[in-house]
Amino acid sequence: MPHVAQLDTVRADIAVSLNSVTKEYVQWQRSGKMKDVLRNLVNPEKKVVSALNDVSLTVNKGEFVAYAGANGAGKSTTIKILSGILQPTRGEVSVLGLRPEQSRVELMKRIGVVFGQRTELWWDQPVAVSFEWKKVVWGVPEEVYQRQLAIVTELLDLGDLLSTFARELSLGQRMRADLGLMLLHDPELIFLDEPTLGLDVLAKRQMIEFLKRINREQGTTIVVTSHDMDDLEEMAQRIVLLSHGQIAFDGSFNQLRELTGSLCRVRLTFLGDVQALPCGNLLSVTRTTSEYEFDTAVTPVKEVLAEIAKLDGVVDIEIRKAPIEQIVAELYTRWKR
Amino acid sequence: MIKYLVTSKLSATRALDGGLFYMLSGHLLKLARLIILLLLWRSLAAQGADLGGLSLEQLLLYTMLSSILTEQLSIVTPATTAFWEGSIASRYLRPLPVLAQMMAETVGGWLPGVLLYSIPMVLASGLVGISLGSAFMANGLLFLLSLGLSISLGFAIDFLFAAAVIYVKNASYTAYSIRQAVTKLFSGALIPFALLPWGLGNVFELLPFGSVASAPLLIFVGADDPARLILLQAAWNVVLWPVTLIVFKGSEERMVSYGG
Amino acid sequence: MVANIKRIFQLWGIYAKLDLLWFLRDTKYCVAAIVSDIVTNLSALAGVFLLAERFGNIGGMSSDQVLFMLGYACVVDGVILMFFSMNNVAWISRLIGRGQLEHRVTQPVPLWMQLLTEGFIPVSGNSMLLCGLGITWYALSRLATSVGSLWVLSFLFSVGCSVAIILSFSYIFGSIAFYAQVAGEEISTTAIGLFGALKTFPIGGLSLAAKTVLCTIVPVGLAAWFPANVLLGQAPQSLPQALLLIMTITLALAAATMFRKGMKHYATRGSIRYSARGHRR
Repeated sequence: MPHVAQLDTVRADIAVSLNSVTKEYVQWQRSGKMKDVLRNLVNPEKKVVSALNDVSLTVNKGEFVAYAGANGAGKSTTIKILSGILQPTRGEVSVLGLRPEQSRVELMKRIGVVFGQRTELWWDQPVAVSFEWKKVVWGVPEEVYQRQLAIVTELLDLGDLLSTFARELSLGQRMRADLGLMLLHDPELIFLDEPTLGLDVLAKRQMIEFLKRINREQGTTIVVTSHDMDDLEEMAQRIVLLSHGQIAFDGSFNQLRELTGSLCRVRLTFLGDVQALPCGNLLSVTRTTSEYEFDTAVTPVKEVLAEIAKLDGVVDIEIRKAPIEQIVAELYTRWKR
Repeated sequence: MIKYLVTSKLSATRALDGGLFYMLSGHLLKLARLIILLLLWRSLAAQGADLGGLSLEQLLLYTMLSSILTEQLSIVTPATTAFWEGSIASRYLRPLPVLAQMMAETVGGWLPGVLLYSIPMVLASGLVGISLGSAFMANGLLFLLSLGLSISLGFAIDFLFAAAVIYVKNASYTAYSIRQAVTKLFSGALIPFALLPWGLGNVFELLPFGSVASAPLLIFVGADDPARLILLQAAWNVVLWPVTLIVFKGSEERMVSYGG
Repeated sequence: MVANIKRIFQLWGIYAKLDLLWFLRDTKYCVAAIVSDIVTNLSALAGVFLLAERFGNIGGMSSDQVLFMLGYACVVDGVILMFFSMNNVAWISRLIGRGQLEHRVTQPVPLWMQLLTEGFIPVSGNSMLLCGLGITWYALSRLATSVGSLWVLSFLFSVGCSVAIILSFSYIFGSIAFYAQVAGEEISTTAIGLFGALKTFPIGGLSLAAKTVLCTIVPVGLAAWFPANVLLGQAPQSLPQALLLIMTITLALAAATMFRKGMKHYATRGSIRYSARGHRR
């Protein structure tokens, strides 16, 4: 009995579980030539594409997980499966202990989903009216609604937007309004598919800060997909990288860096003309500055510093980790091969 | 010219990418409507109803041709949808006149209907005792001229409605409903004007909607004076195209800022 | 059951509120909507009266009986417009073809309940229904039909059946869009369009075979002609009186089966396209 109790406790901590999930699509193939039109009508050529291939993944409650991958890696498909829009071809899916395809209605009351390129706002109504609509359709209790409304209005700076027609909002404003709408029922788990797509720096910052805050303060579990690795690193504690429908990496951002070696960058500023550093790869150079990349596993920082000390006229040294974008790009290239 | 053909081709192949069975279903519904109308006219004639001066043969011919040319006699371009979706701005990024590219898309979109419905219906018309061939021999040239004017006028009217949509941006459905209702009654595509009581058909015939659908059909069945109808069609073209261009031009800034 | 009914009324309530706010959002648009309604209804009514005038005393129906049938047809159209027109609920192939069903799937409401409620526009969509009721009342005042509570109930029941038949027809064909999103996007429009003006013709003069086809396979006759004649106490002799009910059940079951099958396909294959609902892009 204690063993069972233990299992239940473990299960209760799990927000998302994918077990050997495979998702296949059928794609219609077309040559685009008029002469093939009639043949296509009678006997269309089809191809089976594997969007997800035997994916297993667990996300615990309270986690903030970045779900990344190149275009077509299967990110959106996963989000759609998790939110019950699509069914997997094979495998088991559990979200907050429920099977999305069987308990869709119950699940939707507990999760929130935002697709960055779509909106749930009623386009010819002011934002506040969409919020009212959400309250009724989701059956949000008055106190929860008022509390959440106050939170999202303040944190997402929605005050002025509430009385604006949705179709007249800019993209950044619309995303903020959509996020606010999604949070009105106080979901335990949030899926965000490319929420920062097309946002300017300020809007992006606002959104990232907001997501971090609700994860930290309300314990909301968040799974977010994005192409912007720097954004993801800033938001999430854990990154799951998909490649060709399979999980290629699952761990922290630091562990991800170690995958490609411990790449670091050093930027040197000279009083006069630049001088060459004998270790590392030269990335860029101007008359007074140069930037090198080196792998700390091969050349420890101590050695690099010793080499720099031998140079004349160095007035500034800046050492930092290689951007996560570069690490991931390198991994994508490797996986492509 | 080639750029318009390529645009038309894209539009045509896009619409043909659905698989035969699925595409045929819509045309089967159109066929059902045609059969019902043909049955009704025959039944009315058998009961001695007044067909407004048309013979039963003319009425059947009129209805058959109206069905065959459904898309050409009721032109719907992508303009209104592009406003509604807010995607009109992207059409300004192509090195083609906006109206011309939408016309090319519309014409390309006719291909599935022509292949799967119009041509088979022309071939099958003889089976139901309707002789399109002999009517074409008699009035074909004038009919083609009238059809050309009708299509041109159809485009002008569609663009005019589309431009009107931009002025009522939050009420595009309203503009759409008005158009549907007005066209349904005043075009003569479904119910020939001759069947309307109190000589109303003679009045409706003078309106631009009548010039779009009723005129070429009447010329084809030989039921009216072709010269008068063609002159009327030409006059409406001369009046409406400049109006359309002016209104469209005037609403361009709104279109682009609204759609972008 | 009670909870479901309560929920349906709750949802109708919010959609009615949305509609009222939309209608009154701006004087200019409110006037535009009213003008549009007037033009649309005048055109529809003009068509109705012209047809009654032309086809009166045809197919075993007098002018006033034809007018009653046309009033009935307007009521049926009015119910569809008032209850199922918002967000293209009646024109389901558009929702499917444009990939917009996904917006419904993420709501914590059973899909059937969403489709039953979210098309409700009692303020901006009531004019056709009111006009239809007016014509029906006018026609009845000129006919000898005795109108009691039972008659009113059977009128409401018949209208419900005719509406269900048209919507089922739209959903049966509309389900094709699950399999061919581009080619099938407008198929519900064609399916509903088939009923358009055809339902207002008195088809009594057609052969039995034709009438049977028009009241079964292509059920145009059930949208107005058959129920109107039954309500006027002159049920078509050659067809069973229960035909309306039988066909309503049959078509509704067929629509539910086709739609469910399509949804399964949708859940496995997903949507190949998505077009937004009118937001600025």
